[in-house]
Amino acid sequence: MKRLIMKHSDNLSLGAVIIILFAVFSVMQPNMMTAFNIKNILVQVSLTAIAAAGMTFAYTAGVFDMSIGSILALVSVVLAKVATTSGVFPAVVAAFVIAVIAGVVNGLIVTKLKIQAFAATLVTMILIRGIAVLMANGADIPLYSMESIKFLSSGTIAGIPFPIILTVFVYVCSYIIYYKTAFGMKLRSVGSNAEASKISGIKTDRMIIAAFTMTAVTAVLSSLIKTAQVMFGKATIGEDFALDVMTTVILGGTLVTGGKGNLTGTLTASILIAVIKNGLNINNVNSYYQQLVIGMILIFALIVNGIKAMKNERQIRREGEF
Amino acid sequence: MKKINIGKHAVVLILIIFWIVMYAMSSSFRLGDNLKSILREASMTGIAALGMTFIIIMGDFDLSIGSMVALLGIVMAGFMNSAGLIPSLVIVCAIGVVCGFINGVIIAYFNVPAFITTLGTYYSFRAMAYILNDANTIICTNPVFLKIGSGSIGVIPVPFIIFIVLGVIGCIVLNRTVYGRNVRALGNSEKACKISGINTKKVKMLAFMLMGLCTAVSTMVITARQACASTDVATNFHFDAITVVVLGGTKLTGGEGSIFNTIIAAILYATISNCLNLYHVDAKWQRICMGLILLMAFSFGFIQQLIVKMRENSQKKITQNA
Repeated sequence: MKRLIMKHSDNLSLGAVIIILFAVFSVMQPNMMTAFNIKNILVQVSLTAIAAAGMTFAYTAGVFDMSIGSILALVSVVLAKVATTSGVFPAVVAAFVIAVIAGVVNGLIVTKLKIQAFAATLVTMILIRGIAVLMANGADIPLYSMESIKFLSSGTIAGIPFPIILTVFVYVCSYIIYYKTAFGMKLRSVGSNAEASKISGIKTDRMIIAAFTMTAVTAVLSSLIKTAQVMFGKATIGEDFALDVMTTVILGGTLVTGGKGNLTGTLTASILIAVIKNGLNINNVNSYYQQLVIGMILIFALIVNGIKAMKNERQIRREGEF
Repeated sequence: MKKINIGKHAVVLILIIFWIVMYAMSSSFRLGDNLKSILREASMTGIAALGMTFIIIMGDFDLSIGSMVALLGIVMAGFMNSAGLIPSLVIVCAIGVVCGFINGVIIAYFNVPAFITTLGTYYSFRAMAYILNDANTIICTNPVFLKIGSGSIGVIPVPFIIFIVLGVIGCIVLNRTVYGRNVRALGNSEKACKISGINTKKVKMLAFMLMGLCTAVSTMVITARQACASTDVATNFHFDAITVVVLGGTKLTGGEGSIFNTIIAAILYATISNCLNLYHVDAKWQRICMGLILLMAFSFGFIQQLIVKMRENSQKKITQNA
């Protein structure tokens, strides 16, 4: 029992913070506790949580994707363009195709041109956003009366909102891929020691490209929900998305240095952030303060993460001495 | 030996060719005012790029400088209207150093990757700027202060003089002092530095404080040039500064770089953006162009490596044949 608690100490402490915060916010503003608001929070959770699942894979492989917000915008524009001309189904297919291309391009730049992930995705962030703005031609593309797209954000199956079902589905799939498949294991090994993995026959480049593609694909799912929420194809959405997603992943206990991800932690952290945002919103706190709070949380999470990594390193060194 | 030198100073060559071509082709490029405005633009990003050169040589990045400009600008303009010119300039430098100090402490003493830390402060600083001033613009009217941005001594604009003076100081610090040597050594191998007794944490922290100082000076020039401080200023500033440094041949992986090339690259970058404006290139396309330039600059090292490898291979073949 004790070992079980120790093993999940990260997730448990995050959970405790969620409960405390929720209680505090509820006392301050009784509207927090309503079923409507809780549903609202969970839908909000799904937006970042889904993309964060993909990003956890990227972090595990030792890379990460700054361009995720731009992919969100590009997908939104493509979705709206294709949906208004040739139907919803081709639009969703086109969205996925675009995202896979973006992910593979990111991966190729990082692995073949040997540019660090951060720098490469900083470039693609600008480029993809540029393409999105060009395609949208500076205007929002309206999607009125497209019931099937609206379903993506506000539809329900057996009373449960569709985004929540999607989130659960994504996390179950990710969990299986991450912990139960050879792919997940290889990914972790690439993240913890790329050189050793290469020598033992893992195609590290392919793993990294796959990690980028997974991030991009999960970004599409997030984008579908977001686009359905605003009912517009917008080239300007997702400016802060990378910050939200990265904060979530790091707060969840995934190591920045790669090799060790924590999917359940990511999910818990995304709930925490959604509760904070919702609580601030419902108490009429200015949105600038929200940004500041999220930024501070990221820095706090980084410091905790850094201390943990140092401890980890010290332990490895101590074991090496014996 | 000679060939390597050309490779190292490729930026100078490109700049000269570019200027000659533009000088011949465009009559509006030739105007004295246009050339002056190029130098002004170059100093705005260039001054920050000087600090960024140190950071990138160390193998790190600073993404927060754009937001720092916004925050510092608001603080400076606010103080200038109440406390006078000189105190406000001193205060802005002090706060710039403090901002850099915050970045530096987290990065150096908690072992956190620089790009994520500065991503956190990127959002926090701008949010603070918004909070401080409620997203309003402060107009600067002090005539002496405005000279920093738009005045000129003889034919040379004041910002460019500041840029060159700082560049010379930076050059001396980087090439002639123990601190500069430590920075370069840190970029080559952090482990080796630690073993040989260099206080790597202190070196790192100081570099980020230096970055803060450079950003503060940059803020003065930018604010004086616009004659007002606004919270939405310089959103892509980090991107521009990194492009300039990388364009100047400083290696992304650290350990190598030169202040002189950064200065030249700043002028080149300003010239390119000036020419895009002269030929009425759409703003949407301009961003994409800048993104592509950065991508090319990033892969420059890779291309060089490729050429060296090919040359070695051909030499091997020759020796084998012989």
